[in-house]
Amino acid sequence: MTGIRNILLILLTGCVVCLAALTGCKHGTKTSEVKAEDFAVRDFNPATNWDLRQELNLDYEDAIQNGFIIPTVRQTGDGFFDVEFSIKNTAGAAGKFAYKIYYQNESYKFPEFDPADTTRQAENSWENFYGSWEDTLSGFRETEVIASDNKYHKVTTQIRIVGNPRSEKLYFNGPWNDRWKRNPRVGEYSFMLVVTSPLNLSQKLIPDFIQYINQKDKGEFINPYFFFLYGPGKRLTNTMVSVSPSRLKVMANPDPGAGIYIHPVHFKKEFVDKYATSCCGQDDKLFKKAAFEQFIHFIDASTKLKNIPVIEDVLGDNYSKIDYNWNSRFYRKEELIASTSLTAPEPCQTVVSDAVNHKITMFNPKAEFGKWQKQNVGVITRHPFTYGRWTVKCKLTELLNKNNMWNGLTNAVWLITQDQAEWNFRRECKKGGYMANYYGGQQDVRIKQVGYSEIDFEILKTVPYCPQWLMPPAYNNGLDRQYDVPAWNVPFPEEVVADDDKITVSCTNWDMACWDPSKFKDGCQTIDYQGQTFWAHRWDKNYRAITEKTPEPDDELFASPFYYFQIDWRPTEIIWRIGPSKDKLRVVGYVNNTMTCIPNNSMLLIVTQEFHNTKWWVGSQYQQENIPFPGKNIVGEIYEVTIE
Amino acid sequence: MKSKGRLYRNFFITGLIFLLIAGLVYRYVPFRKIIRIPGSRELSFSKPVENGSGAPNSIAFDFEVERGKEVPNGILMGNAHSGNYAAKAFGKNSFTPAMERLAGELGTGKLKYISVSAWVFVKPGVDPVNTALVLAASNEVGVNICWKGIGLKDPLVPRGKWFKMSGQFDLSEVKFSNDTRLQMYFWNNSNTDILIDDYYMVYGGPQARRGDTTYVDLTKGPYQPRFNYPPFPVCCLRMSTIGGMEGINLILPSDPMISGMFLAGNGGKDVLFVIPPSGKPAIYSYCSEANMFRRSLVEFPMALPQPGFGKQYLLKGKFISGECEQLLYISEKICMVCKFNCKGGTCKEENTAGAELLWHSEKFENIVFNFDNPILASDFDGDGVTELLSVNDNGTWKLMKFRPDNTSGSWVVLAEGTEPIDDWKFIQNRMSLNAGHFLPGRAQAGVLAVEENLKTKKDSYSIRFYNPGRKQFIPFFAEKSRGYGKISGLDTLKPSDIYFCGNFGENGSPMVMWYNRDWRFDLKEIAFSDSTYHILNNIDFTGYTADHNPKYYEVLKLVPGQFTGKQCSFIVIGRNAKNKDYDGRDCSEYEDLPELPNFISLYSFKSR
Repeated sequence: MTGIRNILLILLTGCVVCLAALTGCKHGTKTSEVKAEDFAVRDFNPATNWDLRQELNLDYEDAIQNGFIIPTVRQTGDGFFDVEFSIKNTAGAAGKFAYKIYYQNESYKFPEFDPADTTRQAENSWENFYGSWEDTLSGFRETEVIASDNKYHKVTTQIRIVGNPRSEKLYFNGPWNDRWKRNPRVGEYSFMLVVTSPLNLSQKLIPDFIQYINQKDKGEFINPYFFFLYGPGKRLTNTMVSVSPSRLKVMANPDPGAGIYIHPVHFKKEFVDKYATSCCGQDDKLFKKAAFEQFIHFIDASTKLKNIPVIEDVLGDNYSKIDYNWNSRFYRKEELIASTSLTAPEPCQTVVSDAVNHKITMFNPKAEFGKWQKQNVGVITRHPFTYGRWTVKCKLTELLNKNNMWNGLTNAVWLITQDQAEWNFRRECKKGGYMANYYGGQQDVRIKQVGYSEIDFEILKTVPYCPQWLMPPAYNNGLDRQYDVPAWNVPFPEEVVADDDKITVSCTNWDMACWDPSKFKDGCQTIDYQGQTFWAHRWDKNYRAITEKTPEPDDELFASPFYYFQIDWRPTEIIWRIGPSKDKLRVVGYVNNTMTCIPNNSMLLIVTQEFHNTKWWVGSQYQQENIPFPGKNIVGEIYEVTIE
Repeated sequence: MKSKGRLYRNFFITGLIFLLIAGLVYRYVPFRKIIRIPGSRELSFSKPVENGSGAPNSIAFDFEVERGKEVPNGILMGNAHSGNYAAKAFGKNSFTPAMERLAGELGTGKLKYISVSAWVFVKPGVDPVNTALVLAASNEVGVNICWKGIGLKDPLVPRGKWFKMSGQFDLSEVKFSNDTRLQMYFWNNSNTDILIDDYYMVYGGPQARRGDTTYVDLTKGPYQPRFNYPPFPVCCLRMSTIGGMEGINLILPSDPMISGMFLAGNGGKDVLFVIPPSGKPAIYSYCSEANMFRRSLVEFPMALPQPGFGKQYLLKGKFISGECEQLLYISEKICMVCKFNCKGGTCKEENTAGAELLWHSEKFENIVFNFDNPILASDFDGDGVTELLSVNDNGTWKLMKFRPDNTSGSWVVLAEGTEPIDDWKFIQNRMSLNAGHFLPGRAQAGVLAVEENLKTKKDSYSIRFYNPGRKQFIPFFAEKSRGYGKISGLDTLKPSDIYFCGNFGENGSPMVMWYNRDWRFDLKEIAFSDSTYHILNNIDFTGYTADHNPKYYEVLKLVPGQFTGKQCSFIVIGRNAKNKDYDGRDCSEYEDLPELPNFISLYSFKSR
C-alpha cells in the first residue's frame, strides 16, 4: 500500500510540475501573496503574452521616427504587454483600489538610494530609465469595485515601454515627443506593481511627482523605485509594492543587411544616385528600415600631410621596413603630395549592405597616379542608446603585412554622441566644467554641460604611453646617405621590435577633461580590474580623453575569419573586451568614474577604417606621411552588431 | 663701547643674513642638478664603445671591462643586461659613472633633441623607487647649464628583472658651445639598490627632408600636372625569372664590362663581355634551353694588362659589316679590335670563346687615341657600320671608320672638325659626350653633350647629328637657343649622369633612360623633343627577392642589352661598399650585407 501511495504521490507531483510548466512558468513567475491592511495581492505577471525567458529583440521598423517601442505589434498581438494580477479585498466592504505599473531598466542604472543614507535618493538615480503608462497625465488606475468576499479577483491592464517615458519637454520638437532622443535602454527591465487605496492618492500621501512621473519634486525627478522601495512610499499604509521576479530582457540587433541610408547633409544632390542601389541610398524605404548610415568623417584641415608619392599595396606586396626607410628619406619636398585624409565624395561607392548575408562590406579605395587618396570609410548606426554592451563581430582589414609593416590604417569601433544639442547634454560637471569643444585647444572655455561624448577602440600601429619611463622610445632617425645603408636603414629600438607583430588596441574615453572624478589625474595612472592592471594616460589636465593601450597580435585580430570587439558602457565604468568568440572575450581596457567622467547621453556606434595623422599618436614608429597611398582597395566587413 | 656694540650688532646681522642665505640655498638650489659626476670620453676601464647597428649619431656604452683591467668602483660583475658588467647605484643619492662627450664632438648643431635609453634592474625590496636617468650639460667652467631626467618612480616599478627606460629631451633652449660637456648618468634618490646597463644616446633628431616646396596640394584642388615637375608616374623593371648566371660572384660592378652582339649564331642576342679581377675575360650569354646565363672564358690572342694597371675602355660596334659586333679594347698600353666566336654554342657548360684580333695598336700609325678625351662608337652616319668619334678638349673632333683588309685593318678619317664645336668644349666645363639613338626612328646615332659650366655652375645640353654631306655635326635643337636644349622642370641632365638608349619597351619599342645618383638612385624615362626633353616616368624595380630592391644598394651597375630577345633589358649588379666612407665613385672592396646581399639579376619592363 505504501508503495502505491508513493507512486501516486510522485505522479501527482509530476502533474503539478508539468501544469506549472505549461501555465504559470511559461510567462514568468507569478508573485506570491502580499498583504496590505485592506487587501492582498498575488499573481502579478507583467507580461502574460510574452515569455520572459525569451530575449526581446528591438523592432527597428519605424524606430527611426518613433523611437523603440517594446513591444511592437509585430511582437505581441496588440503591441502591449498584457499585465495581470489578482487582488483580494479584505476591508470588509466592497471598494475600488488604485494601481500603477512602473518599469525600470535594471542593467544600466544607478542604485536608487544613497549608500550613505538609504532614505535619500542617490544622486544620479533620477537618470535611470524608468517609466509607467505612456500617457504621463494618467496617474494611478482604479480597479472595478471589488467585493470583500475573501476571493481573489483578476485585474488586467496593459503597458509598453517607450522612449522619453517621462515625456520630458527637453526631448520634444514643438508639439512632437521625439521619443527616439531618449530611446529605451537595452538590458533587463523590472516591473513594479503598486496597489494602494484611493485615499492615499487623494491625500497626496503618494505625491503627484510619483503618481505622474513627468512631474518633479523641487526641480528633481524622483525615481518611483526609490520612493516605494526605499523612500517614504515604503512605509505607506494600505499600499502594496510588488516587483516581478521575472525580468524582460531587451537587446538590439541592428541588421547590417537592412541597408545603408545616405544622410542628405553629407553629399551633393547630384551625386546621391550615382552608386545608389536598393540597399544603399536615400529613399524613404531605406530611411525607415536601414540600421546604418554611411559615416562621413569630419576632416580637420590642420591634419594636412605631405605624403610620399608612392602607391603600393602594402598588405599584398612585399613592402618592408627598408622600403619604408628609403621612402621616408629619399623623396624631396617637391615630390610629395599634400593632402588630408579624405571622405567619400559620392555615397554608396565604398560601402555595401548585403541583404542575403546580412553583412556590410566597406573599403578604403585605392589610389591612382593623379588621384592620390587616403580615404576613410565607415558606417554609423542610426538608432541611439545610452549605455549597453555593444558587440561587433567583424573582419576589419589587417594592419600589418608579413614584414610587420603598417598600412597606415586605424581600425576603429567606437561610440559617438548622437547629437551635441542641449537635449543630449551630458550631466553637469561640477568642478570647473567640461572643455567646450572637441577640437578646442588648451585655451578652450569650460562649460557646465557638453553634448560631446566618445568611447573608442582605435587599433593601429603605435607604442604605449605608459609606464612613463618608456616614452618615447629612443629612435635613431638616421641620415640620408645613399652610400651608407646602415645610416638610412636604421632598425627600431629593441622594445619596439619586440612588439613588431602586434598592433596597439587603444581604448579611450572622451570625458572632455571634467575634473569631477576623485582620482582625475594627468600622466600615467593604474587601475585594477578583475586581477588585471591597466595603465591609463592623459596628456594634461585639460586633455579631453583618457587612453589605455594594449599590444595585441595583428594576425589574431584581423587575419582570422572574424573577431569580436565589445564596449561595455555602464553608468559607472567602461570595459573594453575583444576575443575570437563572444564567450571568449578578454578585457583589454577598463576605466571607471573615479578617474574619468562616464558619459550618460545617447550615442551611436561607428565602425571605420581610417587614416590618422600619426602626430596624434606621439612616439609612433611609423609616420603616416611616409606610408604609401593604398595600391588596392582595403576591405573590411561587419557581420553582426548586438547591443544588450 | 658704542663701536664695540655696533660691531657685535653688525656681526649678528651678518651672521643672520648668512644663515638666511644658507637656508635659502639649501632649500632652493638643486644640488642634485649641479653635482658633477666623474666621467670621461672613454671610461678608462671600458672596452671600446660599440655601436652594433652602425646607426649614425648615436653612442652606446655597456660598462664592459676590458680583460686585464681592474674593475673600478661603481661597476659590478655578474648581473648585467648585456655582457658581464653593469653599473651600480646603490642607496640614497648614489650615481652611476657617467658617459661623457663634448658638444663639439657630437656637433653643436645636432643637439636640439637628444634621446637616451638604458636598462635598469631594481633589486627586490620594499623601499619605494625614486630615481632618474639624467642628461646634464655643463659649460667650460663647470657650471651646469642643463639638467634633464626621465623619472623612474613607484608605483609599479618592476623588481628583480631588467627593463628598459627611455625618453627624449628637448634641448632647443640650451646654448651649446664646442666645450660644453654632456653627461649621461643614472641618479638613485631612494634606498633601493639599482643596476644599470647599456646606455644609449641618440642625438641629431630627425633630418629635414630635402627640398623647398611641395607643389601638389590636393587640399586646394585636383591635381594639375606641370611639365617636368614631379611627381612622375612610376614604371617598374621586373626581375626576370631566369635560373641564374654561372660564376656570378666573380663579377664585380667595377669590372670593365660591355654588352654586345658579339657572337654569331646567337639569334641576334647580346652577350656580356667582362674582364673580372682575375684578368681572365669571360663572355656571359643567355642559354634559353637552360634559362640561364652560361659563362665562356675568352682566349685572347694577346695578353691583356693585369687588372688595376691603368684605365681600360671597352667600346663595341659593327666596325666591319656583318651580323656581329666587335669589341674595341683600349688601355694605356694597347688598343685592339676583336671579334669573338663561341665553339659549341652558348649553352655548353665550361665553354671557351675565341677572340680573333682584327687590329691592334702596333699596326696603327695615323691616329693616337687620347686617353683623356672622349671616344664614342656608334653609327653616326646611319650606314649600318659603326664609326669612332674622338673629341678633343677644345671642341675639335675626328670621325673615323675601320677599314678591314686582307691581313689587318686600319682606321681612316671620314671627317674632321678643325673648327671647335662650342658645346663640345670641355676645357672649362665638366662635360660628358654620349652617343646613342636619343631620337627614336632615326637610323643615325646622335651625340648628346651634357656640360656643367664650372664657373657659373649652370648645366646645359645639346644634341648633334652628323651630316655626311657637309661632314659636320649639326645641332638638333633650334639655332635660336644656340643649339642647346631647353631646361624645364626641377632637374636637368648632368655630365655625371648615364644615358641609356635601347628597345626597352615591353614590345621592344625604343626608350631613352636617364640615370642619376647624385643623392639617391634616380632612373627616369625621358623623351627628347625638338626643344627639350620630357620626363615620362620614374623607374623602379619589382619582382626582386625579399625586400632587396636594387635601388637600395650602395653600388648599382646597370648594363643594358638584348640578352634574351628583341627587348632590351638590364643586367643589374648590386653590391655594398666595405668602406663606410664610400662616396659613389670607385669601390675596391665590397661587403655582403645580410639585409641587402650581393646579387646579379636581369630586369626588363614586363607586366606580370
